[in-house]
Amino acid sequence: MSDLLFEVGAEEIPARFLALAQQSLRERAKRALEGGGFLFRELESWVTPRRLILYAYDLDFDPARAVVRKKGPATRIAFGEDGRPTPALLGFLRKEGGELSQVIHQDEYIYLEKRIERQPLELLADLLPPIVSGLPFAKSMRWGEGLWSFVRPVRWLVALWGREVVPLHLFDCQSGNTTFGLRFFSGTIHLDRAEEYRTTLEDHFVLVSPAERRERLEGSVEELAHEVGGEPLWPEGLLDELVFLHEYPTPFRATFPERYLELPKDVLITVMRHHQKHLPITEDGAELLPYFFCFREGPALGEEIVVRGNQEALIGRLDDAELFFAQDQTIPLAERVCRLSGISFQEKLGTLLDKTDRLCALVHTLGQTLVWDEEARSCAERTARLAKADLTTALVIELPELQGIIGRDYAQRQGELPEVAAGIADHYLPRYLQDRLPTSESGWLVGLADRLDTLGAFFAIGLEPTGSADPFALRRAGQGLLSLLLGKESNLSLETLLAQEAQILEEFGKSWLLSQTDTAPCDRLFSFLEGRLRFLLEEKGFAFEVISAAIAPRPLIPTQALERAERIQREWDNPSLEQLALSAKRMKNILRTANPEIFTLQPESLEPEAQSLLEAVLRTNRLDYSACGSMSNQPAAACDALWSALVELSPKVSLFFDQVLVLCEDRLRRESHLALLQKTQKLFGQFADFSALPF
Amino acid sequence: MNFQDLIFTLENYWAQRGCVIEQPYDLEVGAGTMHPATFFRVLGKRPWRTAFVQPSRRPADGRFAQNPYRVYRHYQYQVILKPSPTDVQDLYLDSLRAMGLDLKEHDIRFEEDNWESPTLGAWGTGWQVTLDGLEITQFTYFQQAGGYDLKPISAELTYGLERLAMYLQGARSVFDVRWQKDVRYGDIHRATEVEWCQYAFHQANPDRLWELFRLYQEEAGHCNEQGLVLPAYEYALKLSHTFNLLDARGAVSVAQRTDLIGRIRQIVRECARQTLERENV
Repeated sequence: MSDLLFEVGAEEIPARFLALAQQSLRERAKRALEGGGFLFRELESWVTPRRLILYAYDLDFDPARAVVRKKGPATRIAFGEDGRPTPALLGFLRKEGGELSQVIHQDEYIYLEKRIERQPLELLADLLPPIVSGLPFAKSMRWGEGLWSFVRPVRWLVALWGREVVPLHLFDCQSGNTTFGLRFFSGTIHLDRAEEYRTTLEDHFVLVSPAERRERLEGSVEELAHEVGGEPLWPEGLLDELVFLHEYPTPFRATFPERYLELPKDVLITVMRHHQKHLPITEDGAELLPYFFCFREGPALGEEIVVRGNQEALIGRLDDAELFFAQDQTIPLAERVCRLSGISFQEKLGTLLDKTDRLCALVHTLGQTLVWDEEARSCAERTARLAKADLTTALVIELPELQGIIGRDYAQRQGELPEVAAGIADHYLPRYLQDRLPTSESGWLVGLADRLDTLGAFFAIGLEPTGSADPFALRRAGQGLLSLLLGKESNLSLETLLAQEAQILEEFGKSWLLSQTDTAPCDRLFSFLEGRLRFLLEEKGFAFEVISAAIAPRPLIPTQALERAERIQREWDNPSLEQLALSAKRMKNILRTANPEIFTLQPESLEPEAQSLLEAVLRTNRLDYSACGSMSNQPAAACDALWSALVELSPKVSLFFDQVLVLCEDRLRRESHLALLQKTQKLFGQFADFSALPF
Repeated sequence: MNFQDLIFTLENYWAQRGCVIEQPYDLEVGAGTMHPATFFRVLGKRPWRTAFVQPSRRPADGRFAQNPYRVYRHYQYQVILKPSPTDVQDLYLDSLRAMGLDLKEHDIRFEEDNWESPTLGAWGTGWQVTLDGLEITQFTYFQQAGGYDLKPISAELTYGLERLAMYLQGARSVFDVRWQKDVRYGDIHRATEVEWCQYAFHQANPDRLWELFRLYQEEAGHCNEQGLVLPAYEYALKLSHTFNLLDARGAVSVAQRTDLIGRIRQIVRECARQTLERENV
């Protein structure tokens, strides 16, 4: 048995695609090889900027497994009542050239399996190229004559099974046993057998495994940082990026003049990280040292030259930043707010100053609704006023990814309260689905209001996302809004939020509201947010039906919806849940024609089972869980209490349905039954639409 | 290597590889891509290889000659290889060797950087090439121009001549670059840089520029109607430069920006359409 090597050599593949490529490569190869009758001891995939590699240890071919499966007729059609094959089955066998004795029964269908009569090398030649050509890349391109599309042009192929070349094509390349080491450090390399691939490439300065490159990077950086009494300060994602940017990464330690340390720390980090892919060094996790790491591809040659170039490049950018920073200091944030009138938010929605005014008003109202104390509210309002002011600073114009961060830094320098400064930075969080949430209260509230205002305003002028088009990133704003709500034990309902936003829009935006009496934008925004909530819950792993059940109660309070979804998930195997679901379905069916009519309930007309249910419903109702839920700020407790009550109630409902003829002859009694069921349904509905569950 | 020798080196290098050595276009452009020898030649099926210097103006990048890297007007060296050859990366790397760089001593990388020009309705995938951390070249496989899918695909190499010269000479500022042995870049361009910035940031008259924008647009439309593609395109270039001036002056809001770019793109698209139509006849 020999190993299989498949190396696809390409022009530099973007680093951001490689992690996923490595994973899909392995998954796709596993499926294809196993499906094609191949066995192996282990399968690995490796990636570098210039290579996509598959490697199977001890690959073997088992002809018995090399089969194609053909689907025939359903079993019930294939055989007559007498158990004999029908013409349908006989036709299928004739067409596929199979015998009756060979048929396989599975999942109520007939299958035939046929041997693939081909040489394993030929099979591999067919099976390997699609594994790579079908890899999912977020952006692909064409090259040369423009006949093919892939992430980057493919330039060479190595396909070896032990000593044998697997003769295959991919795009305009033909496989062989010739590969290349690191650019500039190696010519062509002829491989005698697959097994020598990894060590040969390592000798030519290519570490094919990302894990090895990561180790090399982390280890050497750590050591070099210690020499100057510091630690590497790995910004988010940089290590991954470096791993996928190099075939053989070597770090060099470099310095920059100390005076740049007077710039805001985040400016230094951003310039290093995003513009130069440099790694900052910190003294104690907080303060930066005037050192950084730059990286070169290949062995540690030309250190002086590479370091000097990188220093110059970094200093050039820091010079620019220093100039802008000095310019910015002449006008404090508070005075910058009025300059927001020079930046358009959206043509019909006015400027960022208009937006800021709405934001302040909304934060004021929401602060009252949440009954925050005086101090917290005034902090949040100050945060709202200053939140966007840094967009007028030269540094943010130059480094837009620092919006909020620069605001925080300047606010601190200018003596704003720490809570306000933190809030200015925080209100942009979460920026994407898995991002962190604000830690400051004011950042949370301003972030909530900011997104609510953006959504309300865009919906009011009819610019809603349609299909895949969402030019103003409103879906992300919606997700952000809901993540904020879910991330804190607030019991704000979407209804309350939308009502407050509508009021603010009416106060501030009379001129551009579609129509002041038109409630349609508000309704559409509600369904939109409901959809986003559904999406977030799906992301958290809840089943579709569980979500439908949990988000049905009104008012729609996202934190409670989440609690209820969790509870339903947890109780999945509890027979009470099934009972509740079945009862809910029966109620729904019976009441489908009766609702929305209101019936009178005459308790004295009811049978004992019905009376017992009524008493239980009334008892539960008196507890008033919805109020308890929305005011107590303890969604979990409210949810628990209501759940227990429903579990207790559930057998009574079942008993009622089993023992009582609901639609009986006697009109008074029939209407009392229906009225009782309406009450019960309403009570169920406070927790969830149980009828949506698949029992 | 003096600035002018760098240009000679590239001219010779690419001439030997079958490129037509064109001359700079005589209108204000933001990049070599806007030169008709690029824009029109990448459309359609005919193979084409060209190389040329293109002075490029980007008013918003002006820094009154105070920044070591950023200038109002800089020089690009533009190469178009259509269709892109299989050894295009090696051809490029050899051009760096021709400048006397020992590539083992340096860190050269191809980092993803996808290029897009909304005004030209053009985009491509590729890299920025960095030399020891400094961006020296934009390397692009054109995918679309004028809104049309391209086939075959052209490779575009755009060298930043100032950056390269600074690096090769170890100059701290673009203005210190030796143009030839006793004339510096600053001797030729410092005063004009300051004047242009003074104009673009403080003196340009937005009302008149808006008026020019309107007039150029009308003239471009008129030319296109008459089937005069190149004159129409030239007015699109003027529109693009006028837009850049308005932008540098801070006279364009975010919403207007999309609209103005859209108007220029429409003209360019029409130019591309007519060009392709003629080729297919």
